[in-house]
Amino acid sequence: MAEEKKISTDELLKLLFKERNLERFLQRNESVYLNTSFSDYISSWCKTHQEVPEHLIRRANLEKSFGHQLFTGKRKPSRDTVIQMAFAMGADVPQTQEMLKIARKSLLYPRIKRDTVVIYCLHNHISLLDAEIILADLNLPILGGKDQ
Amino acid sequence: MNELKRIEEEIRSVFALSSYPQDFLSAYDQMECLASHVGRETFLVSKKGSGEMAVAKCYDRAAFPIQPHPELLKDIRHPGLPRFFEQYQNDQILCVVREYIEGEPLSDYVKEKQLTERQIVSFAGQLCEILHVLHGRTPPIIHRDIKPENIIVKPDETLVLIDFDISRAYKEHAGSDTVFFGTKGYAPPEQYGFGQTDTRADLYALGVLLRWMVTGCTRDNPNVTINPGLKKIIDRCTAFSPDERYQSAEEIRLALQKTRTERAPVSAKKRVLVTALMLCALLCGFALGRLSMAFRPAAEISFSEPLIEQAVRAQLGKKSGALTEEDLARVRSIYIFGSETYADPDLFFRQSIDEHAEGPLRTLEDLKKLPNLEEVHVARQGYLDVSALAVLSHVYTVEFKHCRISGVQPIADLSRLRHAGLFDCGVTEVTGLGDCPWLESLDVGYNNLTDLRQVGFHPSLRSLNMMWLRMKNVDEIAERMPKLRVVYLQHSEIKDLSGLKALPELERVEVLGEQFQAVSGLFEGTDVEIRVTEN
Repeated sequence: MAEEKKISTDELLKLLFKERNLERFLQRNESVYLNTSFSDYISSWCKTHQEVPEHLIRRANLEKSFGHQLFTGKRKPSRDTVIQMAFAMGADVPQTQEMLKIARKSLLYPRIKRDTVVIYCLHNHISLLDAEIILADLNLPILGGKDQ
Repeated sequence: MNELKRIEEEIRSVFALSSYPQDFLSAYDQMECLASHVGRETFLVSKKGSGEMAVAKCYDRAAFPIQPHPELLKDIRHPGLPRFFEQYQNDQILCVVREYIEGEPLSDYVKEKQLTERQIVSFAGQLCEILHVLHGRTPPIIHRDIKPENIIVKPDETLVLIDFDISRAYKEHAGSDTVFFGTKGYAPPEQYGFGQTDTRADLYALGVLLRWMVTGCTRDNPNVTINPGLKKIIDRCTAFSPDERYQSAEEIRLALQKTRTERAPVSAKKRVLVTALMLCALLCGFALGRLSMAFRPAAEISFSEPLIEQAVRAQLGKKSGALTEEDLARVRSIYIFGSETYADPDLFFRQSIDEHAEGPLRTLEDLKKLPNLEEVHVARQGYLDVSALAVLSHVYTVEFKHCRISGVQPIADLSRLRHAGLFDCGVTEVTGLGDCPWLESLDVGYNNLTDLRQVGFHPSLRSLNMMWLRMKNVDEIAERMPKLRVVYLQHSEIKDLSGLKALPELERVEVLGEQFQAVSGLFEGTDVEIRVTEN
């Protein structure tokens, strides 16, 4: 991780554009992806970080009861919801990719403009709100705009 | 704010060099990449303005060696095929936009749900209908890549065949296929260059898919016993020579239909008896002059146990009126507690024994009328004859609570059983359930089981409820149930729990507050969670 932070965002974008092999992300911890559910993952994250789910749900800008259903496993997250959760956790790009894999959603793909905004913001620890502003300014669909 | 503007500019400038056709990017927002392979990417896209979702397949002309034929599907309207919307192209990339199908690939669908034989036959039948349409075109369209990843199961369990990347129209005078495309395991020999592929290549792949749905393998697996009717179809579909295969999808569909009407194997003796009884009934009908009744198109269905009828009606939301066979085929689960029935499982699980008097149910014979029944939940009855369960081949959950059941063997005969609940059922042994290869959770709480030998060996079990049990120890639990992850011990009086420590996959033990001290001491320094719950 420390290594990655040394890369400038410009360099990161260039690197990401060259990298088309998403399989690399999947090879790491394949067994974790297969055996963990998204609800287990976020619950254990809260436990490890001594966070209450309510805070995470609020930071992810999710509706309260929907958020709690994600924790109990009663509802499954959409791809955008996973990304919103990642922002709320302060996750970096590889961790977000892991979360997407656990939730069985498509990974962030740098050749997509919208995903690039997300990658850029996660990498630079830009807040969810600012990420939404950038998406809106670039006329791209905002996160969680359609689903939940 | 300036920082955000700088980032926006940076991203704009990078994407100004995008290689996708500009008119495609002006019409659609790329939302996610569903798949990416050399020379082709599949995107979920959203139409700008309307937000309508679609799927765009983008081919890099230099890297993808086949000329795609999106026009093949242009004029076909069929619920089992995606609609073609439009295509965009520049010198480098061709983007074909088609209808987005909500659902999940069959390859993912089977990870969460076990396919029943009925589903398998239905899925294969639907694919035959789709192939019948494709192969019936002039010239016929050959898909050439039928596999679980290219079949979408919609929420209503209808199928859509996608990914026509390598499909092509059959050319009558062409020689052999020069290059191999397709998926190894599903492609027939001729697709490897032994000849030109024709529609029978798809029928071969359909046979392999059918085998995969039944056995989980694409290759013949002699260790798995399968329905002989289906085996015959699979073998003929996958014959080496195309001439020995079925010659059309319609032929396969008819063969499948035949297996659907065939019942589970019945012994010769039983068959003779049933035939004799049917003849007798028919003759009696003649004698009584009631033949017209026997041939009434929709015979009225009557139940011997009014409570089961009530449970069925609760599931169907049909309080009165005649029940048809179609209605009964729709019932997947029943919930009965005392004399009450429930449509909502949550309501059933919230009931307690104190709120209900003993119910009047005595036999489960009526359940045989429900051909697709998967879950049986019955609580607070007196003596209950459960022998009818043995023939309910689709059932995977059986839960009895506060009943006196006639025996465990009929439950053990359920080959798909995953969850068995026998709380307070007066059972003295459940060893027979060890033969159920899929059994994941077992509740034997509040029964007269004083030794693990009465519970037996359960190699696949993940969760065991031992509430209220009295035992000396659980010393052999790791040998008997090596995959246990969760154990419920509330109110149990098991003197020595140290055997639990040998369970390699144990994750959680649930106890009452007063048991916490004793149990947590056993697992100090491990990752096993001790959870205090009252029920």
